[in-house]
Amino acid sequence: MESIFFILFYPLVIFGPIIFSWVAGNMYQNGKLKSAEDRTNTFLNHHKKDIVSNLKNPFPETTIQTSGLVIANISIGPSWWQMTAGGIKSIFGGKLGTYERVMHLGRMEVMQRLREEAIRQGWDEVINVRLDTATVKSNQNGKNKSSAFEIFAYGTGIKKNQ
Amino acid sequence: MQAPSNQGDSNQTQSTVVAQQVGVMLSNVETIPGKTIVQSLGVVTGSTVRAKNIGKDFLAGLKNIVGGELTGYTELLQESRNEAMGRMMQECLSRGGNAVVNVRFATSAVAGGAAELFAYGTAVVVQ
Repeated sequence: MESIFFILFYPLVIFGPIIFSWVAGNMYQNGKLKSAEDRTNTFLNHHKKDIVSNLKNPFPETTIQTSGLVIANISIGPSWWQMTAGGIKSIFGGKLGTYERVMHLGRMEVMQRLREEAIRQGWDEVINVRLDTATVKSNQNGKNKSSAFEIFAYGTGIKKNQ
Repeated sequence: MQAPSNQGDSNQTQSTVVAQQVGVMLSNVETIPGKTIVQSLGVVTGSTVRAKNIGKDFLAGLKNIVGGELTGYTELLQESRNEAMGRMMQECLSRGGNAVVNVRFATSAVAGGAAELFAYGTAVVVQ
């Protein structure tokens, strides 16, 4: 009786959290990515062009009325499953697809936040946009079961002379 | 300067509110677009070191099960960056400037669970 218990439930206790993290994490992150993509597409269709650029001057040269700093950030972490899969994959090297997905989600989201923040503050365009990535907390030898990095975007919002 | 609308009271708009209260203009290009620089006053910096509290750390650890945004950290870093910017603006004011141009930000993890947020730029007088 006891051996059956161990055979059935021991793997579940060991692998249960990681399987849960795989299923729930994929669902959650795909939903977030889809929402970020939808918001970006809606925004771009509505404004007919992208309002952010990393040029020093707005491209069709215009006279500028006022300006101010616009900043947006997100701190984002990979799921347990993504950390484990990335850890195993990094033994062999090559492309770490799970981490790529997290970074992509973070970049999409932070760029969209920058656009929304600029519109809310009343700017027409954002020039000289810089993106910055920093590790907030790292997963050291699997000791620390969490990991986070921050993606940060800033630029100068401008208001054109009409 | 025409005040941009800052009705939202979320953290995202706090930096603008601080800047307007102190009366210092910021930009990350070499000039303040639409103004003329008349005097340069040198580099001004502002920094802050912040640690997460245990509660937030624990919640972020739980959030790591599914991954995605860690809202506690996002807010904390936003607040800290606003404070660093505030200190930079204070230094600019004490030198007699009214704007900071070419603002840059840097982040580094100085100790386990603590991050330093650093903002620097050139203080100038504009007209």
